[in-house]
Amino acid sequence: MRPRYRLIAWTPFKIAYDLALLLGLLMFLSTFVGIGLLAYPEITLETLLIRGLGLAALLLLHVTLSIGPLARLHPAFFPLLYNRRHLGVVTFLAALAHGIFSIFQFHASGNANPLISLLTSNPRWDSLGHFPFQLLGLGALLILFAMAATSHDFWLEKLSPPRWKLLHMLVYPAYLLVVLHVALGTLRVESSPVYPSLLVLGAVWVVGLHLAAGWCEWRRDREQTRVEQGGYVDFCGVEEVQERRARVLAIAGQPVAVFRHQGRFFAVSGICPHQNGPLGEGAVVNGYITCPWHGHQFHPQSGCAPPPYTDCVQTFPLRIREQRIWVGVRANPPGEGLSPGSDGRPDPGEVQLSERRNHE
Amino acid sequence: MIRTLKRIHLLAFALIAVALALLLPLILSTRPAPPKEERTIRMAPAVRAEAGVSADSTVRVASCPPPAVELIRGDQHLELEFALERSLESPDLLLYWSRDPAAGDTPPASALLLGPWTELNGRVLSLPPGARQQPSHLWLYSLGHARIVGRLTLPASSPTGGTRRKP
Repeated sequence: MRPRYRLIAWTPFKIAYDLALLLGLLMFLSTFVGIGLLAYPEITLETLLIRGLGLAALLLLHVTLSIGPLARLHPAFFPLLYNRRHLGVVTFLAALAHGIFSIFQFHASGNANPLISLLTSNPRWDSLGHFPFQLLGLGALLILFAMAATSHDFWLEKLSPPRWKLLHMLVYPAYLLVVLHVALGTLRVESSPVYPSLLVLGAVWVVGLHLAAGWCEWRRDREQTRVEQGGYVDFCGVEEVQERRARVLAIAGQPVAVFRHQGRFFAVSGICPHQNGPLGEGAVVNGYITCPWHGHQFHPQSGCAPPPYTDCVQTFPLRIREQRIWVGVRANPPGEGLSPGSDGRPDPGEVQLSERRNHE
Repeated sequence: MIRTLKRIHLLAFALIAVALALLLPLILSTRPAPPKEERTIRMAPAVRAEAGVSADSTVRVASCPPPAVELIRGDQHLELEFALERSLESPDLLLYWSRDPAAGDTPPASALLLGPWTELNGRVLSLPPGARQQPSHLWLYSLGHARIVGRLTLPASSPTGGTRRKP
């Protein structure tokens, strides 16, 4: 049996990335605590750690949430997508440490169970000044926990990509809870206008980026092909597709990407089958379409990954007429264009056949 | 499915934008006013005289600004009204009361916990009946530092009662 797609779980690059991330977090905390002890000697180390970890988690959450829309708005940010899950897990760990220290400091000195104290000590839901903001943080932490616990590819496979993605979209309400947690909590006793301004700027940045990226995708998805003749739809002009890149349009509700590689055009599904990644936003690298989310590759003509993998994406028939690209409504059978047992690249006969078909 | 997820994404952030646009200005505009520069607030003379507290009695909190304390005598028992003039930098202060003196840096075992200091703003606390018949003590105790950071001795009051004042 030929192996199916499996993500490489660990690489030297990922190890270096994670070490750099943890080192950066430790340096940030050390600097924060050091400056805090010098400037405010009456503050305890525990209090400084609570504040430092909370600030680190807030900053990391902003960075994590910025990567997706930035990559959608400009392909230069694609490399940041590869290890976004690692960033998210570190965000959760910083938030978890912040929560544990906070519970110890504010709820562990009485007779009540600290968790019960956390849940019941402040029932003033009707007061802005004394709102139980800690529960907002707890809610966000629970969401981040669910995401961190399911961030491994095991859960991606078990849940299926759409369900997994839906679960991880809970980070959006978690972000809202975090912003309100900060505004109703520590900012209530901060007199400086700097901190509220930074929080507002961060919220405008994150929300603005996501709205801009969502709006662009919505407009692109609304661009329906208008003309259909003989099972083919008028996709776009040949000059609209850049070399090694793709143009994506929806055909019958499904994103289809037309890539240009060495002057030839290929139509494949715009969705990567592994994580529902935006394959059409990827690029042709070393002759293969490369998913921008996880780097998996597919041959542009056959739609199949190189050996030993057997995964394929759908391909679509394509024609060129009067400098216009026409794409077939019905997908090709899986693996069309590949001779059995080949190295993943089409044989010369198939290339000629495809070229005739693609450029007729 | 991917288009459904995209719609959910756009809708979610539209809702978040509306929620934050409404809530953040409201929350941030109702923050407490910035603290004043004074480091010590003494009791108003009229209140001080009525409570029978000497002129130099103030609550002094180590390394952080002291809040204002007003002592108001009721008919049956002593009531304390607190009006915080500024936010405290120490978040863990607890207010204790007892007739017994402190044992070193901690309130005596008989001390009555009145509550967390930061939660007393605008609240009226009742001391036990007869609290003012003998001298008693108030302490601000820091959990983090495990020591008393502020103290006030309340002398015994005269038998004539007083009226409660609004702060």
